[in-house]
Amino acid sequence: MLTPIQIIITILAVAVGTMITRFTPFLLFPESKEPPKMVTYLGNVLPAAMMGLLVIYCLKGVSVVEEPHGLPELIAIVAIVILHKWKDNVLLSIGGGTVLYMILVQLVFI
Amino acid sequence: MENNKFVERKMENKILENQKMENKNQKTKIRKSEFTKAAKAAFPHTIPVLTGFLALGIAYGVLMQTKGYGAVWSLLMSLVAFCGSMQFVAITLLTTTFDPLQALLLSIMVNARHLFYGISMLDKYRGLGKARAILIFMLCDETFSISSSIDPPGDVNRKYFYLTISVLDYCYWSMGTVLGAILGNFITFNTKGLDFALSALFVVLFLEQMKKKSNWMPGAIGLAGALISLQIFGAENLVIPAMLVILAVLILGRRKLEVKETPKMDTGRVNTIDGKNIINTKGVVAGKMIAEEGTPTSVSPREEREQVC
Repeated sequence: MLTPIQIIITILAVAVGTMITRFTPFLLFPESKEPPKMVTYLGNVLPAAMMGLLVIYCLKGVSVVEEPHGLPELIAIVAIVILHKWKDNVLLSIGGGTVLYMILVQLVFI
Repeated sequence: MENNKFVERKMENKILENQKMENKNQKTKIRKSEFTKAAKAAFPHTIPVLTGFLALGIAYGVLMQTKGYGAVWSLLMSLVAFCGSMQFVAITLLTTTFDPLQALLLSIMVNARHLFYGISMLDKYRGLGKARAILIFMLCDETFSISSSIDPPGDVNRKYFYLTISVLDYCYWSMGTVLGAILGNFITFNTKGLDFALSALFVVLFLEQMKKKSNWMPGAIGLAGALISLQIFGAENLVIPAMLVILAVLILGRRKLEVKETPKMDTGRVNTIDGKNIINTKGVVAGKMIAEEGTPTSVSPREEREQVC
């Protein structure tokens, strides 16, 4: 177990590392200057690309080989896509998908 | 006479002061009502994060507790570092030998994706004054995905809208970690699978992004880049290679992708006065002109705005 001072220093180190990644773009391209065209372009296309990355990122722990072969996730996501195309309601899609997933992992694929 | 004048002047001053106070009061009143309006518009978008963060935060608090770190430490970490997945990684840092440099480097690597969030939000967080620093400090995955996918309604104060999302998400996470540390062991109902709310959030916000045709290719590039990187580098090291692949493809494909961006570049721009949204009328006209000139893919700007909202 670390001493309290060591714990605080570790927490600060983690925080500084995180803040470096959060603040760097804003420090590199301050408001007073027009950012390079390439950066503006990336700012336009990156959100969609990063959302794709985040979808995979949050499913990275799912194994296709082991039981239940990622079926709960697959079923829940298909349901979310259908629900969202049908009702187009963000909260309903997320809530419905989550409840379905909980039912699947608690009652169906045990 | 002199005395009278003096009294008069005093009275005048008092009236002026009263007026000033009234003005001030009115200003705070307006600000308050604007804030309430923005908060009301923003809050519903954060509900999925509330469920997800409470579930995950509780898991984090319980885990910290089992390693000998109580509620105060969990809260301190959440308030100061506020970095979800990295906080789980940091548990191992807290249970091995003291090595702050490793903690710093690991934190930069695990959180590298935030670099791209910042680039994406440069425009949206422009001109928000002091609030900008708070927004950047709180820019986590979930806040980024909501704030980048959902535009504040036209009559809502942009600054307050983004602030509400950021601050609420920040509070949810901190609350969750404390709750987990305090009463994690008393929770009796089966919460297994509750944290899927965050996966569902990302999936739905991905679908929201896909409503814009110009986002189809970048979205596909993001999915494919992450999948390829997952296959090659495994679940633990997927993010940085995926970011590099995505960045490379986006830069190389710029000419093709940017052509389709043209209508959006003209319409998506928003002018800011006092942090409020005002649709850039010039941009609309410009966008319409392009549409009339017959670019096949261009949607009428107003239509596109409505689709996004």
